[in-house]
Amino acid sequence: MAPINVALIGYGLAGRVFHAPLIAAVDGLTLAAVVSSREEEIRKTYPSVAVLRNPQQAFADPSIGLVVVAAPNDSHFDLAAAALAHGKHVVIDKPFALTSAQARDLIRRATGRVLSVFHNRRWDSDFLTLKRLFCDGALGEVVYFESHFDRFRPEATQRWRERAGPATGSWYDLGSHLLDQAVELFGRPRAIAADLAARRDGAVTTDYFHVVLRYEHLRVVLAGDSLAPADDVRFIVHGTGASYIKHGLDTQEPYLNSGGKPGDAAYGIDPRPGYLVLPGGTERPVTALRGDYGAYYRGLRDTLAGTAPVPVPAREALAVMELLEAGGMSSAQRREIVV
Amino acid sequence: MKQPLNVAVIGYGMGGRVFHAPPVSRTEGLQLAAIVSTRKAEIARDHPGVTVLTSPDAVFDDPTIDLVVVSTPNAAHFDLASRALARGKHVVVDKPFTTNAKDARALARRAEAAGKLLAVFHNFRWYSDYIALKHLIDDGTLGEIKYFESHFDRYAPQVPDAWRETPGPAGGMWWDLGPHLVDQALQLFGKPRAVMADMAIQREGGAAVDFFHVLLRYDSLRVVLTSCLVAPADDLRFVVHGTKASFIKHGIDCRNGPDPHPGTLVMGDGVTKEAPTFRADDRGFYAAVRDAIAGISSNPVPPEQAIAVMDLLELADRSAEERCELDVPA
Repeated sequence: MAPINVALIGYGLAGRVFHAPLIAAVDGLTLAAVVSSREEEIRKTYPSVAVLRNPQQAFADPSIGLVVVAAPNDSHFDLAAAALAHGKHVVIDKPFALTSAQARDLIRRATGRVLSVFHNRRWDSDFLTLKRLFCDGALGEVVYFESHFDRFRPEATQRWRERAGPATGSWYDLGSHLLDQAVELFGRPRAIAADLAARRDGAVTTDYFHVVLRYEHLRVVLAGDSLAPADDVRFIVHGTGASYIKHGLDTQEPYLNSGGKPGDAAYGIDPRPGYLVLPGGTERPVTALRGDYGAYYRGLRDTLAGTAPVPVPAREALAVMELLEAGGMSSAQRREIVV
Repeated sequence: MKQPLNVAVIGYGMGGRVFHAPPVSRTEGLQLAAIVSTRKAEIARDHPGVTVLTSPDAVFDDPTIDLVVVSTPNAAHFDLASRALARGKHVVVDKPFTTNAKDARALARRAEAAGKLLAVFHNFRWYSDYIALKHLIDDGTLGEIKYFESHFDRYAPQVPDAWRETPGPAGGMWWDLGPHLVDQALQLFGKPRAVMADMAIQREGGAAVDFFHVLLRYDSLRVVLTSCLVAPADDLRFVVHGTKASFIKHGIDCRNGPDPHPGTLVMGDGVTKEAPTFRADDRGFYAAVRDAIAGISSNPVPPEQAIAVMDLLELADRSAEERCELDVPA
C-alpha cells in the first residue's frame, strides 16, 4: 500500500514536539506538508517537507490523505470541517473543539472519513502500566483514583493557552488528558463536581482545577495546580488489594522537545516508575511499560488501511468535551452536575 | 502546693483508654480519680488504684471530683456534659462536641451559666505534624498558603461492628475523623467562604459514611479534607503548597515524643530538604485545661471554637446531600 501523505497544520508546541516527529517516524505515513509561518525552522528539521502558508493549499492538494489540526483550539472546528469537506481524514489535537456542539457537528460531517482526536496520554508509560495493573487485578477493586497535572509556574503568561475565552486554561489544556484517561479506565461518571479558578496574579483563565468524578463507590479526583512547588505527584490510586503511587510526568514530551526521536533506545523509558503499597505498608516496585505515543499514529495508519479500529474515536473525544463542559458548568453554578 | 484536680473519665473505649486516661494520669496537677466503665479488669491493670464506677451518677454525686471527661459514644455527650455541668463540674468533651450544633450551643450556654470550664478535646492541635506545619507557616518558610490538603486515611476494608460506623446523627467517619481535620483548618485559616462535600460508603456492607472529600473555598486558598478507609497507602497526612515552598508530610498519629517521619520541604526551585520536627506531648491539652481551671491561662479549646467545627460538619453534610456548594454564614 502506498504511504499516506499527511499535512500538519500548526507548528507550535503540539505540531513541533508531538505530531511532526511521531508522524515522520511511522512507516506508511509521510509527513508531506506543514502549514506554518516557521518555514526556516521546519526546513532545518524536515528538509523534504513542503511548508505551506495557507491551510487551503493542503485541503486542495489531492495527494494529501490525512490532515492533522494542531492549531490553537479556537481554529479546530473550522480547519477540521474544511478538511473533511475536502474529503480528508482528520486528526485533531486535544481538546477536540471549543464546545461539544462543535464536536458533534464535526462527527456528523465526518461520514465516511476517519475523525480522531490526539489523546496521546493514553500511551504514557505510567498510564499503560496502570492499565496493566488493572487488567492483572493487582489493585483489587479500585475505590479512589487521583490524577494530577501540577506545576509551579507562579507567573501567568500571555500564551494563547492562558488567554481568556472558551476552551482555554488548564482545565481544557491539561484536564482533557486527565478526563480522557479516567473515562478510558472507568467509563463515564454519574456526576461531576468541579472547582475551577484563576488564582495567579494577572491570570485571566483557569489555572487551577480540582474535579471530583462520582461513580457508584469509586471516586476520581482530577487536579491541576499551577502553584505547586512540589509538582510531581501523578497518580494516587487506592484499591482493596494495593495502592499505586506514581511521581513524575511521562518523559516523552520533554524527550521529543529536546530533539530526541521516537525510535531512540531511551524513548518512552520512565526514570521514576511507580510502586505498589500493599496492605500493611510493604512497598513493591512496579515494572513500568514503555511509553509509546507512536502507537497512536501506527494505529491510525492501520485504521486507514482498514485493518484496525480508530485509536481514539471521535465519540470518545466527544465524551471528554461533554465532561469538560459539565465541569465548567459545575464550577460556575457551584454544584455537582449529573452526567 | 495546690491540691491536684480530681478527674473522672466517663468511658473506657478507645477514647478513654488511649487518649484520655493516660495523659490525665501523667499530667502534673491532675489526679485520675475515677473511670466510669464496665471494663473493670482492664482498668485495674492499666490504672491500679483508680476507682472504677459503673454509673456516671456516682461521679456527679462525688463532691471531690473537679473535672469530668466525657469520652463515650457521641450520642451521650450532650446529656452527660449537661449533667456534669449542672453538678458544678468542669467538663472536657471528646470530639465531636455533640451530635448537632444546636446542642453544642446549648451546652456552651450551660457552662457559661454554671461558670465552669467546658473544653472540647481537639487534641490534634498538639500533634507534632501540626506543630511543624504551624511553625513553617508562621516563620514564612512556605510563603502564602494556596493549597492545603489534610488526610486521615486507613486500610480497614472490613466494616467493624462499632458505634463509630453506625449510621445516625454524628455517625460515620466525617463525624469521627472530620472534626480533627476541620478544627485544624479553622485554626490555620479561619472560616472558609463555602464548603462543597462529597461523602460515600465505599465498603461492602458499610452503613455509615466511610469516605469523605470536602473542599473548603477561601479567596484564593483551597483546603481539601479527605479520608478513605480502603487506602493501603494510608500514611499521607498533609500536602501543602505555598508561594515559596511545599510541605509534604507522611505518617499519622504523632501525638507523643519525636516525630519518626519528618516532613519534606520542596522549595520553589525544586530543591528538596527535610522539614524540622517537633516533639509532641499528649499532656499538652490537659496541662492547658488545668491552667485554665486555675485561672492562669485561657481555655485551650473554648466552646465557640468547637461550635464553629460543628457548624462546618453540619454544613458539609448538607452539601453532600444537596450535591452543591454551600456558603458559610458570616
